Amino acid sequence: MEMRYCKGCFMPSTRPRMSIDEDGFCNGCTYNKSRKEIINWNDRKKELAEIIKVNKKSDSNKTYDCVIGWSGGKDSSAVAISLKRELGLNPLLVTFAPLIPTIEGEFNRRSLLEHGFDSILFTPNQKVSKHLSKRFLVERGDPKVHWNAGINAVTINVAAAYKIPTVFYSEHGESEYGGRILDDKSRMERSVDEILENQIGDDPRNWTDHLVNQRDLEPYIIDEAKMEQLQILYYAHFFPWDIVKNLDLVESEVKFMRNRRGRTYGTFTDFDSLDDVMDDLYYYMQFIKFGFGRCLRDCARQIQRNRMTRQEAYGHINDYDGEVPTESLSIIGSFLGVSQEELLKLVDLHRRPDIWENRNGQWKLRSPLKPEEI
Amino acid sequence: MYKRIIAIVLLDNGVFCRTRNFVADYHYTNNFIDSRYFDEMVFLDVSGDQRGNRLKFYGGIEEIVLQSQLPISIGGGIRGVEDIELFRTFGADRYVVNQTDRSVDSMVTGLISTYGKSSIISSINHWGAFTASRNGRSTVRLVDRIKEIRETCGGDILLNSIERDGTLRGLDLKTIDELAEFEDLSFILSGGLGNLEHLSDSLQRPNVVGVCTSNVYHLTTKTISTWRTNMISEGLLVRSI
Repeated sequence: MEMRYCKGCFMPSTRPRMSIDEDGFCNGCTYNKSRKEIINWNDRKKELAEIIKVNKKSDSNKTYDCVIGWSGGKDSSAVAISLKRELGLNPLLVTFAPLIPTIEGEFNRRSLLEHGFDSILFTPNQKVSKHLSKRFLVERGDPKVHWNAGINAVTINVAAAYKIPTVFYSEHGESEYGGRILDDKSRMERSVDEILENQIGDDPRNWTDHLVNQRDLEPYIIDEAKMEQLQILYYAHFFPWDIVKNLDLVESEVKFMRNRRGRTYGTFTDFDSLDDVMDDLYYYMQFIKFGFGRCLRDCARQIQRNRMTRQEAYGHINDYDGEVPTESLSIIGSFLGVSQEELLKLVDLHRRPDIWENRNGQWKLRSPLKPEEI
Repeated sequence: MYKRIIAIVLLDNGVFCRTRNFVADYHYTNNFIDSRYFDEMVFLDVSGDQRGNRLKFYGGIEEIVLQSQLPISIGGGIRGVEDIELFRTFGADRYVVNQTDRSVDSMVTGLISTYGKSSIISSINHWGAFTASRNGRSTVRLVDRIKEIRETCGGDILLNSIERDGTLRGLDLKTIDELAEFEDLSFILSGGLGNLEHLSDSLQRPNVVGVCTSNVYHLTTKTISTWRTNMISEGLLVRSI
């Protein structure tokens, strides 16, 4: 499969589920363009207020209006601040513990709680979590598959247990950044199909093996019966979505710690995905599996918001995309119980022959982004 | 007779892929396919219009075919004897021919007379109770189509639910149950397998001889191993590893 780059944001055709149209634009770019032209955000806000009101029943929780899946990063914190400010809601923030927590993440979560929110942190069995992380790195090239299941499961479980009928996640990635839209409601509401097909890849009940039993998997299992009692919404369907504005909002309200080492590995930003050391491997694996790294991903989002030219983006991508997160790999190797050398071998197993070629012992992209594509 | 767990492996221009509604949506490498866990492997070339380059397809599967001890079936765009002769050189034991449309029936009859009934798997794409067309469901009922080919089809009929493919929401058992009258036919089901329950439910149907896994299996051979143990404990006749 040949890599083709979007004429708008540079996102390549190897991004899973994404399509590029006849004019050469990805469906993320097309969607973002259509949003600017069509959406009346005031109406959307009123619609959301009505949904929250309708969802509340006589036996619903009297203290909390909604649950927010919350990492403590700029996006989910901005959602919390905004829902409180714009609609006067009192959200309960629910966190599924990062695999390898960072100082920045801890600081930023504490910071928002001091601003005035209640929160629940769920930390799963670490023996099981480490085992699954290694297994999914080997089998799928993604050490965070179970974390993705966990952050969905925990919000559903907490919302059902506390009788809080509305749950929020930040944005629908498949719409915003290019992907597959399962049905008409997918842009607004998260369904079990969305979780299983687009986020996790299979049912967590399948993950039993010689070390993990069904009971161990309970924190990851998506309970459909509970989901039916809830409405799980994307904030970005009701309010304009812009990660830089999210950062501005959070920094204007609370102390927010950006990446302590300056720039984040593999990109030019210092404010995104800071709460889990494992994210550095996650994005590096994206580069290995699909041929585009964290920098291209970040640039694509900036281009779509007219904050960056393709020329500038090309420069960043050339400089940083695919950078090996050296220090993080050492921490991650210890977490997974593998040596640095073994870890890099596992990584290389995921290089597809249509994307990579090995020239004199060096891996090279077969179709790197070229200056003439700017 | 032992029921079969079959790995259906799809290749898009020689690269392994996952599909949704039979359109490729995720590509991966062959490093995580372990044939020991299956009873049979089916390789399908889903490259579509670019299917011309069969060598790319073979390049993708060569290593697995050479090392595997399993029966191998190959298909995808078979138009006649030439395709089958090529697939024979790839090491195939059986050939999967898409027999959704009536227009290929005489070709299938010819192939069966040359290679034998047991060498041919008749594949039918369906969308619920109807056969599938390019844009969804056709107006032909699946049960009627099967009646038409009952006497002349290959040794097994692979029922490929385009609607369920890639959804993980379970095989289309409602449609399968409408085929209960075909006690003399052997069906292999594909499309929608998401968990153990889906597998055990479908294999309990008397005329279902095998179930294909694609999206689940290529990620988790450990899963297939556990499923086998569980199904044996439930009394289902499947091979133990």
